[in-house]
Amino acid sequence: MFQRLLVVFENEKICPEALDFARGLALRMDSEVTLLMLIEMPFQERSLLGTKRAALMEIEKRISRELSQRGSEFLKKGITLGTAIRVGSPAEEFLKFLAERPPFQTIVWGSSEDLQECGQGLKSHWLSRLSAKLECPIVTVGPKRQERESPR
Amino acid sequence: MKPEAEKSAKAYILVIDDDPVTLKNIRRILENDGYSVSTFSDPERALKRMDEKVYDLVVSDVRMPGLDGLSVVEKVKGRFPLTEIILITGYASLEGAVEATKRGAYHYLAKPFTPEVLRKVVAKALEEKRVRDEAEKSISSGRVLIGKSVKIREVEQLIEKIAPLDCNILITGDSGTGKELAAKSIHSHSSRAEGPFVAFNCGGFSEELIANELFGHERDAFTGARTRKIGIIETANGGTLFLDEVGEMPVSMQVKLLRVIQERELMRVGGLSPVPLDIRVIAATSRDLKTAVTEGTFRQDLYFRLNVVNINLPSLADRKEDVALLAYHFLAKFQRRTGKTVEAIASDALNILVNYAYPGNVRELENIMERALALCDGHTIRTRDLPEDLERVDLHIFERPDSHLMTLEELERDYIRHVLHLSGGVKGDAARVLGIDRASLWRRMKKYDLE
Repeated sequence: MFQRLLVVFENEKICPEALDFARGLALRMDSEVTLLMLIEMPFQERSLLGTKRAALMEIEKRISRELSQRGSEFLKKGITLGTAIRVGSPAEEFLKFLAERPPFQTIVWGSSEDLQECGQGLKSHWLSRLSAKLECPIVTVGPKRQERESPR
Repeated sequence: MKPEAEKSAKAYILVIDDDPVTLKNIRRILENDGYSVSTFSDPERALKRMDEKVYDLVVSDVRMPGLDGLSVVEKVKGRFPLTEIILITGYASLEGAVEATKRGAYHYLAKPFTPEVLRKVVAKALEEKRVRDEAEKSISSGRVLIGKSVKIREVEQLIEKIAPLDCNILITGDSGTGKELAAKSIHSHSSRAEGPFVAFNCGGFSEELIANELFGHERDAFTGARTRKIGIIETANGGTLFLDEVGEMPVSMQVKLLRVIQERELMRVGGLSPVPLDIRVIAATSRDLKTAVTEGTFRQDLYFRLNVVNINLPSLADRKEDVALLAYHFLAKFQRRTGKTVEAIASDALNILVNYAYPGNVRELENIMERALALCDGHTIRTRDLPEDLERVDLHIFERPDSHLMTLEELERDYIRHVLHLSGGVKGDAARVLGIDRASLWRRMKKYDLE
């Protein structure tokens, strides 16, 4: 069966372990991968004709470069890859993005291991609030606990 | 050991050592644990004995006159691949341990060892052998859903119960949980087993393509239709039609499918007369169809038609106790396919497999085992044969609330629908069974849109 894997990042934070894991999983499951970067930016008072537009274009350019660079490792392994950037409220943009696309079989949280480590914060992150509404598992990735605890 | 005790022994163990004191000690320790133990000081005689009796485990010294322990491993594994071997030695070395496990020994135990250590290693070797034997059995018995967990047993029981009934079934579960395998199992246990099992994935196709594939077409129905084409639904006549990812079917196609299920007939594209059908429909989805119904992307009437019985397949993360059995099952399956003789999974590798989160479910484990077997250059799958990220990263899968827990209203609606179905739509009979009057039944039917 055709498998689709989505790796979601937030605010330009990229966790290398998550990317490595996504690559390995895609190879195991023969999946195509989409890298989605969500950038939080309130739009209520903005004018897309003003300075914000220039800033936005600059951010998009920077992120596109970053995603293509990170994505090259996937392409080298023969994995079909797509990238996307959404700007606005992360939760809303994420849901809109999912609604536009055919269903994904797994979603990997690509920004950091924070989601599983922050205790109280775990409840408050928008992704954990959305997890009940999604139709596929969300996986968060972090280095093994002993590695995290060892002195660097 | 007395003959009665011999019969009820937990396992049969053969011990080979040229030192009579060690032989005596090992026999005492293992017999106390309920094993039937045979001891030999001559390896050649021990191997001859193995021709007459099946042993689960051999415990052998390494340095012996005549045949050494490594040769014992080679001979035993060559003739009795299912028997586990533990080597014991007073001259333990890393090279020796590597060589022993390369040749297929389960463990390399350095002397002196405490009775506790021996007990532990023996119990572990026999437990792994038991799991492996069970996996072998599952392959030869043709079982499709592998596992001993309560969740998978419940699914198996449900399948056995509903397979003979000719009702439509909706199989739900995450991608990779084995929905098609479950559908095949239902088909093979049904009265349609002799008929065809035809599977079609509804995802990723345009409406025209699905219509053409499912319904077929008459000659000259459209430009390029030079011959008549029999569609997938018609091919399944007399058997089972399996529609995978049914939630991805375009709404306009859902209407046509509903008509097929209701009328038991179909019209080929460009056809003038309906073709009668006798099929059972099993649909599968990883999506929440109830939500899709409320969102208007899936027809409610089709949902009810398909969801006469729902089978929900658990994800592998929810039945971790099946991982070892499944891993050995796939090992046996790929061994048969490739002809490679890899019989065991090292305990540290098995630990990694059991502790991994499997977002890709059983299919991911299957792929991991296929890769491991291809990379393995000995008799045992080791950690180096597994993907690196399995060990390196710590995964966490968000728990989703059980979407199959029903509200009271949903339960009431489904039960009324069920009773109406049993009573053949006779409202008076249904009301009597439900213990309410006809007016109340009518009000509830209106409320739940059951008319």
